Amino acid sequence: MVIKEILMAVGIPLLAFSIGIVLMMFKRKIIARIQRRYGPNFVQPLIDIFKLLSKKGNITHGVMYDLGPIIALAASIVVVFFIPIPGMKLMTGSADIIALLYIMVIGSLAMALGAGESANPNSSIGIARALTLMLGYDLPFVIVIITLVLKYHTTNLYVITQMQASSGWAMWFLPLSAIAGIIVTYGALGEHPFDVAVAPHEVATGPMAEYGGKHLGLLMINHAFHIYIELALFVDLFMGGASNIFYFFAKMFVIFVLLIFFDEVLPRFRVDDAVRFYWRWPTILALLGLIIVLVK
Amino acid sequence: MKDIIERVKKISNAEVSIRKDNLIFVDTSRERLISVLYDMKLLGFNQLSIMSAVDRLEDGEFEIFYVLYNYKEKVNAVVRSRIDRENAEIETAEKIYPPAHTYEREITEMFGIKVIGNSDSGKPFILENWKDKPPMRKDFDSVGYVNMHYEFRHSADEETEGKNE
Amino acid sequence: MDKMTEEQYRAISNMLRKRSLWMLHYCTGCGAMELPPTMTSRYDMERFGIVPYVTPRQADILLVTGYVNIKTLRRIVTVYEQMLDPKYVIGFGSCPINGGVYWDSYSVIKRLDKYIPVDLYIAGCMPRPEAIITAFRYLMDLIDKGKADGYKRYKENLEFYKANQRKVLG
Repeated sequence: MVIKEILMAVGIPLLAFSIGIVLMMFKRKIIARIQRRYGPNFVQPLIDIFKLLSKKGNITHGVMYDLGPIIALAASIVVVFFIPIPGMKLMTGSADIIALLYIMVIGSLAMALGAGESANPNSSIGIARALTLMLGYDLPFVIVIITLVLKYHTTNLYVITQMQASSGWAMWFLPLSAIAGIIVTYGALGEHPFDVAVAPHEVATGPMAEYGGKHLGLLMINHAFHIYIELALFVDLFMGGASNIFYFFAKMFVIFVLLIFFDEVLPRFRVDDAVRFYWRWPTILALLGLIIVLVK
Repeated sequence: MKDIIERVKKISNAEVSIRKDNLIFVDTSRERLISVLYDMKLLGFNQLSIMSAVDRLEDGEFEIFYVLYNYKEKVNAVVRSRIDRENAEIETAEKIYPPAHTYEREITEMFGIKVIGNSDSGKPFILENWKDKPPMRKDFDSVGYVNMHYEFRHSADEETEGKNE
Repeated sequence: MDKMTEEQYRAISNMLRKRSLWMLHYCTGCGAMELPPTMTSRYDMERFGIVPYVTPRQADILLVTGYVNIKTLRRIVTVYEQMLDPKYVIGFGSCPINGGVYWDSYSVIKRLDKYIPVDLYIAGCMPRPEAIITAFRYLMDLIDKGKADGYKRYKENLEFYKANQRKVLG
């Protein structure tokens, strides 16, 4: 019994990390092919992480600066256990979707404290923009989740996926909420219309401006987990989970390719334009979806 | 001949020579420089394109020039005057043309010409920690300065290695 | 794991590290005009894993592209000391080698070698993107052999470099 628990505790984050890394590998190749050139090597993200973790020379600005990436990574690993993958319930029984929303915020707050400790004005500007953007995309996100909760009369994520497996995907019944959900996923991942927090040539990569070497390696591992969490949440909410792990990966891949196509051709919003956009069109779509569910 | 050039010729104490259809030179003396600039501005020469100095070493003088431009008539005008090289001083033109503020800082640092009335005139502008002669003067020996302060690379120099490609 | 000695670990580590060098995107001189063609689709630089990054804390290679004033040298020394080990410096063009077209100017330094350690020079004014890519391949070769050790030389001969910097920077 204990061995099974230990295997799951180690294996599930490894699975999430490998799915995230494979999606990152595909992303760089696809972007390169869109721009009509050969891309980097296929396993380039792994080599990058190895290089970053093997840099010497430690600089430190204080305790919170060191703890920021570690707490962010730990929070991401904890969130992975609350999202059901096909075949296993994991820990969804003891928490529900509302608790998941709260736990997902811990990573950003830890990075905010860590970036505030590094004595660089670029980090402060970057983290202020990141938190403002989170304020923007949380509103349609919460409305979409309330829509789903009202439709299926439960807040348990596993039960939602089971009910969709029998009665059809939620994407066909609630198309407006699905569109709002995809736009929210853009902002949460930091993809191009909304990557104002990590704008490389404006704010010198925002909160990551003072991190180098091993800290940056941890942040890149965190980014891989983040990709997995956002896409798995979308697939579970709207596309009904999957029956086995390969279909799960295929669904995530399709959604990710759709995200990349829009990511590559759009420029960047300013942060106040982004918040104004989020509070106008995705909110209207999500509210329309909510009204449809309430009326029926 | 354009009408504006006739009017420029009527300014007192200024000698006008015409180079091309849209380029004229206005020579004046040091004391009348500011009043000539003011008259030119009243005639419509609104833009100061550049202001600088030329070192006439053989005459022992500096020659200050202002290049002005008129948008309506599309005429360039160069206002020149000569000043003494030993005690070089001019008055500031920033009340007439505000961009002259930065150009005057530059000629103070590079030529050593004092500008009366400019508040930032003596402060260091481009060069940092410069203790030598103002470097744009013609009697500043650039090659001598380089040989004193820097070293060139000789082919048999193995003191520090750099790999060549 | 006991069988892997220090040399084998270093060989594997060099082989992996040379394929993902990150470049610092500071354009310190006029030679930076040749970097955008090297980065975009025609002479693709990302095939070798070289990506531009914007802070010194995150980058590996410092490109000194073109002439170096005294003012610029002060900032370059600060930036070089902020980068994390292992780091490499590449001098572009003929100005860091011997002064270039500015050999008789009072404010351009003539030999970059005396102030920060340089691993590689590229000749030309400005070198074409093909020459830049050849230089990166040569740098990867040097990393493989273990000869690209500019950062170690800086730490060992610190008094020499600091004396030269103090003499010219004041």
